[in-house]
Amino acid sequence: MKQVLWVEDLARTDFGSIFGPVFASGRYDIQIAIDPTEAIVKLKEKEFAAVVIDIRLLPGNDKRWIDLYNKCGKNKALAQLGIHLAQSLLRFPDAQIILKDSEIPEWITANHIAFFSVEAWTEMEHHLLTLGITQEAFIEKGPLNKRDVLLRLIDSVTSRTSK
Amino acid sequence: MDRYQIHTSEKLISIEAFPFPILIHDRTRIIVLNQLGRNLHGFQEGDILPEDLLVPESQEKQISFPLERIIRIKATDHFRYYKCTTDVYPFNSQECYITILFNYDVEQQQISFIDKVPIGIYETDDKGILRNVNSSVLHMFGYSNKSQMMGHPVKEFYAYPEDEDKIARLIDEKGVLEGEPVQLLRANGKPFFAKLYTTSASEGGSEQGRKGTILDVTIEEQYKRILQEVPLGFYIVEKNNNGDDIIIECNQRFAELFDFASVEDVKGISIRTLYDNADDFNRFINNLEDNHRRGEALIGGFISVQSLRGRHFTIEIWSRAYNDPKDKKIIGRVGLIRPAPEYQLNMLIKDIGIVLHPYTGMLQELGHTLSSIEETVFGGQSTHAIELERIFLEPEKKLLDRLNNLLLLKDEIGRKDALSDSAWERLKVLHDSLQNYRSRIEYPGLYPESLRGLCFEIRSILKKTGIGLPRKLVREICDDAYDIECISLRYSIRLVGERIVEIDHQTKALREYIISNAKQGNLPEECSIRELVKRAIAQQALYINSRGVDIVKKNSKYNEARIVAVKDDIIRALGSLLHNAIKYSWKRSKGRRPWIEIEITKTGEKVSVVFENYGVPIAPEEIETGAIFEIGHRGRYAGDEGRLGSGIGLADAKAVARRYGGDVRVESRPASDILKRAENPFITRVSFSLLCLETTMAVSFRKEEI
Repeated sequence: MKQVLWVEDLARTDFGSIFGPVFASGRYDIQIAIDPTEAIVKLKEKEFAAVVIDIRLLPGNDKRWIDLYNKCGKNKALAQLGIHLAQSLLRFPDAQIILKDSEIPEWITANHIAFFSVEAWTEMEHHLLTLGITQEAFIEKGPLNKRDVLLRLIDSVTSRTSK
Repeated sequence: MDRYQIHTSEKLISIEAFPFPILIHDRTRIIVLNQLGRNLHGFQEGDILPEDLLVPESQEKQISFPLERIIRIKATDHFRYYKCTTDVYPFNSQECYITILFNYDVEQQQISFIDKVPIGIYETDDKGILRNVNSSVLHMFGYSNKSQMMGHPVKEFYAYPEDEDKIARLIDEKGVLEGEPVQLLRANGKPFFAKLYTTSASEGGSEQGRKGTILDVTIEEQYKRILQEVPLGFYIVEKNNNGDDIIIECNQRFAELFDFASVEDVKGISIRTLYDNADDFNRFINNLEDNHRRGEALIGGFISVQSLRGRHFTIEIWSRAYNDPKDKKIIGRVGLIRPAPEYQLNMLIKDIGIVLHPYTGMLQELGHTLSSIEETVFGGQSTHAIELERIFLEPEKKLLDRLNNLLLLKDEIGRKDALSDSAWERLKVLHDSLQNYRSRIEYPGLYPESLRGLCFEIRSILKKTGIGLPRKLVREICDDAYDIECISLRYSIRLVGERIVEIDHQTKALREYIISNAKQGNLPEECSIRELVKRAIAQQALYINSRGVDIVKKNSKYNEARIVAVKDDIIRALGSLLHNAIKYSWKRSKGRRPWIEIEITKTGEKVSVVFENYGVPIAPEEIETGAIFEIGHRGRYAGDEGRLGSGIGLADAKAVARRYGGDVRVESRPASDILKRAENPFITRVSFSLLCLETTMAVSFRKEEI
């Protein structure tokens, strides 16, 4: 069973209906991290075939993420910590947080990362394309999403990383 | 001085005897001079005269001798002034001139200075007759000649002559006047505003009079009057030595807005005392300073304030900081304020009302529809979200056992072909997922939808089954799976229903919050804290019922404590804290519903309402950093089991508490030392404190009312 990490602060509360199909598919063992602090810890525990990230995240209890969050106006919509997390994991030159080598898993590439967030692709494409993340790995959250939206996104990512 | 004495001396030696510089010269050149004359800037016989000493042609200009002049001669690094007397002086049978010079430096400089300073300087005698004025006085009053003023009674120059009597009396009383405002009269008859700085003058102890300065403050006074009359509050603040922002000037409108009787009552107070809470004040100062660094004023910010009588309202503010020219530090600011405009308030309330109305109706409709579905499909008994851990236990065990039995049949002859290989394989995966879901899914809130997905697929596969499988077993498995789907659905309906109640509460809380901060509030009044708690509980009755919690009010000797506050503020704040306590409560012991403890305590001057609940933790870092009190902040665990956090309640409660001299304190600790993880229950105590009206005060207040 492939391992998937979903970095989403509301995963356990607001998204049971889209989590269900992923679990029921039996193809994925899906873990949840509710903030970047927890994501960094979980990413070191095992190799994931896909890492699905929300853009609007709270910082968790790591001072670096807290400071960045505060600097960005203490507002998760403005701070966009999900983007910062991807930048840090992919060693983006302008990343606001430089992670230690030991914190970045060796296996992670832009192909492993997908975004599932309320922002529109047009709002985020500038950030994401510079990271090597394409529109196929981005889905905008909305009431018209089907229940299997997350499953499809994960399938799309894992089809790339399995090759 | 008898300058003609020297006429008798044609002997040069005679001029050496005089203690002044003496020059004998023709119209342009020095012929002879005494030693003091030589010492005077190094003059020598034969030198050209300094320009100021040249004797004009008598044909060009009518000259009468002796000629009196004041001249200045350049010394090494400055000018020196001399009073000169020049007369015709026959010398060696030629028509020459003799000039005697007297040092005039000190006197002349004083006269020159006094005459030229841009402040009016005047002197009167003991009868109030002007004895001397400088050029600035002439300019100020619009006269061209000192004689037009000197020798006249000062009364003539007042717009209101009786003011002179007042000035004379004040000088008698105080000895000195510093900036006494008067209206004076220009030569053209127009009055102007001036300030007098005057003291009594005596000369040798005999003659009494006055001397002083006059400052024309017409422009300043006109501005000041305009600022007094504008329908906006105007103020100037300066930092004192302690760094406090002190109001040094304001207009009557400002004083009225804050319920002060007069402008003088406002001057000297710290402006901080007028702001509703320290956070708002600090935010305002930061914005002001940021704008100042960019060379801009702060335009049109909104801030909550409180009046002297404790009235809370919102003002719109325009302010500009000014700094010390030396070190560039901000030393004060000027500002204009007005109450948040009524039309904006009305629009705001109207807008919120327009949004709220269909929203509330829609939510109510949704809630009723969901209740109907729950009743019709599942019967009367509702399943509460907090029973989630055990509601699936029994049906899932039945389903697992039967599914296991079915899977064991796979290898039996005649059974295998009833399903395709992939279907058998898939059933095995679904069985394993059902067996392990508790260990594989981190959060119980995600169980129902995951189980529903599994069960639906199991049923879907078995629907396609052909001949060869025991029909009874297949039907039982489908029924079990369907039961689980129903429970799951019922849980989801219940959850959505609770969320609807939540959203309704949030919408109303938001509306109350906006309106309470936008409108000019009611006046504070004395009230019983227990009564306010009671009303807050009554307001939350529906939610208490919806969540199935009990309220336990602990007995306290401070139940009768009284406070002075705007009741609506306190009820709203207590309601928010109670709502949170309800929302984040878990079941504490078997056979009993979750409960909230409410206790009234007192420490020193402050009475507190303490809410204690058992359930969802608040992360320590969120308490330490104060993040939980920020507007819009949703706590790390605030979304537990689908609970929504509005991000308003705690922030509003803290602002209200601080407004009345209190605060909100939050503690959240593990309910058990063994279970410290956030997934385990925490006991959270939220203490809402307020300044308490002392019993004696309360009694006297009530007596006065009676």
